[in-house]
Parts: sequence; C-alpha cells; structure tokens
Amino acid sequence: MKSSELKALPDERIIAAAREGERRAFAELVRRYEDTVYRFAYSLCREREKAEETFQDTFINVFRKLRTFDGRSKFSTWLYTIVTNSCLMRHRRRKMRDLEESLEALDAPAAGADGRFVAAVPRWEETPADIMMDKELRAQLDAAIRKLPDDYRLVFTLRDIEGKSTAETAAIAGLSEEATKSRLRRARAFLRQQLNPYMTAGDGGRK
Amino acid sequence: MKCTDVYLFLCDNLDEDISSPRCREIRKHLEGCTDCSTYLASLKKTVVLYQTFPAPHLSRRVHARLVKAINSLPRPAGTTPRRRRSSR
Repeated sequence: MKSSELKALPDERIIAAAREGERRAFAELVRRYEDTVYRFAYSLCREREKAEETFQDTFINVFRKLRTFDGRSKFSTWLYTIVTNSCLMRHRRRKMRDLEESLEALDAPAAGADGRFVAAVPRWEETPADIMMDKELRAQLDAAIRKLPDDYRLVFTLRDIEGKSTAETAAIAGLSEEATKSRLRRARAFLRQQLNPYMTAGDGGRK
Repeated sequence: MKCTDVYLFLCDNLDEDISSPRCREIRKHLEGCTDCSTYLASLKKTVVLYQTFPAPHLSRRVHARLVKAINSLPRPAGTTPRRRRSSR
C-alpha cells in the first residue's frame, strides 16, 4: 500500500496493517503519533536528552509489542502507558517518600476554628500567561514541576496538560480514580505553592 | 461553608462545570471571600502556565534516528506481511 493511501486510513486499519508487519503502516503510525509521544515524554522527563531516549524506546517497544495490543483500550492510551513505563517505571517512587507527607499536608491548609485561612492569600499578577512566558518564568515552572514525585507529575501532566479524563489518566498511571484525584489535587496545590513567591508582587518575588 | 471546604473543592473541580447545589454554595462563598477567589484565580493560572509552557519540537535528527533503528529491527515474532501470507 502506498504512503498516500495509508494517510487516508483510520487508525484501526493502520494498526491492523502494522500488526501484520507492514513497515509502511508502522511508519504512518509513527508519523501520526511522534509529536504527541515526544511532547508527553518531555513533559514527564523534563530533560531533552531523556525525552529523546524515551521517544525512541517507546516506538521500539510499540514495534515489538504491537501484536499484544488487543484494542480494548484506545491506542493512544496504550501509547501513553508505554511512554510512562519507559520514562518513569525504573525510578518510580524514588522521590515519593520524601515528599509524600508534605503533599498530604496540602489537603489541610492552616485555618482558624472558623475555617478561614490563617494567612491572607496574596494576589498574583494579572499579566497574560503568553506575555509572561519568559525564560525566567519557564525556569521557575520547570523547577517546580521537577520537584513533584513521579506519580504526581504524571497525573498532573495527563489531566491538566494532555487533557485526559480521570478514568484514562487512572488507567495509564495504574492508579485508582480516587488516588488519581487526590494526586491531581495535591499536585495543583503544590505547584501553585511553589510558584506563589515568584508570582506575588513584592516580598522578593517577581520584579 | 468554610474556606477549608472550598479549598478542597476547588482543587478537585478546577476544570469542571459547576452547577450542583453544592457548587452554588461554593460560588456564593467565592463572591464574598477574597482569599478563596484569589486562591482560585492563582490555581487556575498555575494550570494555564503549564499548558502554555513551550515544549521543544521533535528534531529531524531524532526522527531519523528512530527510523534507522526501526528499519534495523527484525520483524517481530508472529508477524507476516500480508503479501507473503497470501502466497502460501
């Protein structure tokens, strides 16, 4: 089958052909998903070199294991799972224990008996995100998300950056939906907390 | 409705359409509580900042390296090209 014909086929037909060993079909799969895989790998790994290795490992694993894909889940879900395994599984939970307690503490911010916050919540600058995305801010964002334990960064990336549902995120991460929700809640709160000094005008934050 | 209740609710439901009775309660609280509305704004902004974080583009070099690696791999066990199978 010609490459131009392959481009017109739906994923299911391409996957079926690739499963039968059609290399052109596999090349078409790579064409369709390589940007997604690389972007997601970079979001998880936070290092270009590691993302490139993960990208390569992922597609080699897909090539080798495509026959085991049974089609019960979406192909993209299976692909995200392979990226996750390639990038994180070897050192999963490495940082979990270190930060787990402090992340759990985010569920209960300091409040008085009346349930009001003890400290006033400072207002962030109102500048649009696209204007503010300068090198310094990118470094702050990068530093904050790198501090998250792997499971938390994975859930935050899948839900808030990749836009996956809670159910799909849970399936990819190998977590229950409840655990997925609690990790997302804490990850969001943690990142906000990390960025707060920088985003708050005055008191040593952004100029 | 306390700030601490609102805090957990906001963290859980940041991107969801809120229209339940409980959500109406939350909205009412937000209208009268500067701390919670400021917190919500900063939480949403955190997510937006990461959504707009520019990811690097996949380079041709990395793509070419993958193509070369895949082409050097033997056909996975159990796969047979259609043409060859139909000739059996």
